[in-house]
Amino acid sequence: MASVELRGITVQYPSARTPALDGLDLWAQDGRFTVVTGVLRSGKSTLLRVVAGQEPPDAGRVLIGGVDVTEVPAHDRDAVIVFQNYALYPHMDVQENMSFALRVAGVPPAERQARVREAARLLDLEEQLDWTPERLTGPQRQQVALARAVVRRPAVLLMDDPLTTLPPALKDHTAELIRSLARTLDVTTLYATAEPGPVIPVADRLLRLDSGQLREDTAVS
Amino acid sequence: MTPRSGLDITTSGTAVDTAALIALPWDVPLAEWPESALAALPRGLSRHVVRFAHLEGAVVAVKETTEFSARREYQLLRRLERLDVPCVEPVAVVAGRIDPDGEPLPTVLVTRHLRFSLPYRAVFSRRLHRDTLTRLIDALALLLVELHLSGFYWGDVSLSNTLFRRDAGAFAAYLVDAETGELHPSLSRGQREHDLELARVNVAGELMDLMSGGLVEGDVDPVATSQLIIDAYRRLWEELTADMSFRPGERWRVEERIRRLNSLGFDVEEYAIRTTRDGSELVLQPKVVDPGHHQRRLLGLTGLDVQENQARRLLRDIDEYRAVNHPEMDEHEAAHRWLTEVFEPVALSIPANLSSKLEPAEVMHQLLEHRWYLSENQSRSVPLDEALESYLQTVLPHRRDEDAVVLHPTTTMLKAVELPSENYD
Repeated sequence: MASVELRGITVQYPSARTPALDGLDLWAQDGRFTVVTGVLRSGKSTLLRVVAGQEPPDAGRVLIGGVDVTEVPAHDRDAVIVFQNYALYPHMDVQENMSFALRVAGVPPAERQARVREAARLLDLEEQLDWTPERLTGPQRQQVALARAVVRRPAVLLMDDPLTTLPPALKDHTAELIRSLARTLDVTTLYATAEPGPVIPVADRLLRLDSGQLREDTAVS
Repeated sequence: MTPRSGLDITTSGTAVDTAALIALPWDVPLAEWPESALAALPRGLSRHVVRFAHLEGAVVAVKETTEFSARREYQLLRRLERLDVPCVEPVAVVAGRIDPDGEPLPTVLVTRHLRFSLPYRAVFSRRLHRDTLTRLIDALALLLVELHLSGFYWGDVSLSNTLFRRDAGAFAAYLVDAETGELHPSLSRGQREHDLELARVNVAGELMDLMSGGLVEGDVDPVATSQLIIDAYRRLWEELTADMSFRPGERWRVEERIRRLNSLGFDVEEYAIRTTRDGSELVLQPKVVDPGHHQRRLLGLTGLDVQENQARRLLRDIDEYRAVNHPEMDEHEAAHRWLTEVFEPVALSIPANLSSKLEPAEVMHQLLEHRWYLSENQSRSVPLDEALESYLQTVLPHRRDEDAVVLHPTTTMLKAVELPSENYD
């Protein structure tokens, strides 16, 4: 079980006039793809950081899989934010590019290798594992960047508008990859974006935030 | 080249000559720009197309991206510039581009290349030494502290997204890529911690990459080394922002704390003092600390605008100059005399063909180090003129040109761009 539940979460940034999250209650079901939408500064990114443990709430509780993790540090939570850094390292092969964060996290080599192979299979990168990035096409580089998150095998995957800075050609391809992963992976996903269109086809629920409060909660068929 | 209709250029009044900007081939996809327009051609792994172009004798970086991202990053860089945060200079956003067939082309962000700045892969010639690595990490930690004090959450902290300028034996770091950044009145602990975690993971990845390429000297543990940035950051953040308690009779400790922050290169613009509940102690809390203590002092005394550690070094030389030659003069008078009798003759003595090696302030620092080295070797006080002659003959000619070294963050290509000679006049 890895549902995500927020109970009365309030986050007040220093010097801000209004709270970024204002007594927010939210429940994201296990294994479902939940899209959180809203305008700039509606609280979307803060919500993801609270779930990841990177933003301690001023009030409220965070539960992952029914367990209260409010006081659990970020590195001990089973929730990963997909970093917006897509840079690939030129001297490392695809396998190393996919697994370096696992090495930083202290995952043993055999376990790293198993996870890389699994992510490579999911993202159709098995033949490219020993390639250096310069041999990859632009779309393949995006696949490697996404694979970095998949190898972490989190119970909760948090995506903070990963398409927003991509050029149009890569945006379409990456949206398709995310849709494909959402259908394949049995992982609870919270996807924050101002433009939900590209991921609506795989969304189970659409939540709209405004001024740190939940304004709409729509089931997507 | 005649610009196509619909071109929409946003630039600040002083950033650039608009006519020169319009003359660039905006109706051509950036990847197909002619060599005549380019200063260097980065090849590589970026998700954006990036090129370095000549503009009015300077070098600019041109990045194709979405219009939303370009405008957002441009505005963010302008706000950071106004806050005096070390970052690249935003020049323009060019939107509304169309090719000769009427097809739309991506919006571009144009930034000015920072003279004498180096990507981290260009600070070493063959292999990265451990002490150089430590200095790079210290510079990145200091930049992160400065950004966080200004309320800037970076969102993609890495050595690749930073440029480094030599600074009297250390490095000064500048933010290059603000694409993922956010500017707030101030940051929460969570926002700062997120940046630190990104720094830890990204720097470890960058070191693993250098090691895969055989570009790091000796045994370096990338994970342990990346932790150094966290340690350096926390030490400095604590020094700058922590409360300090003292008894009412120990007011000298306020002065001591401020001097300590000055020695770290920060001015205390504002601080609060409150009493503890039982009234037995006072608590000092720095509220606004501003980097550049020595820079501002040197600027006020001499008009020279240099890096912080260079300023520290030059101020020390001014003190020595005054003590030895003009102890009767006040500080301002002695500094002016030092400028005309010491610094300017050294700067003017650098031959034109060597002027793109290093900034004059860095030459001055290295010259002072060289004089010390000669004096120690010869067991006598070597005059500056003699040390200068030796430095210009034996040291400076062997250095690489660093005026315009460009290296796209995600490429392995490195090139020193040739600039027109009038650029150095």
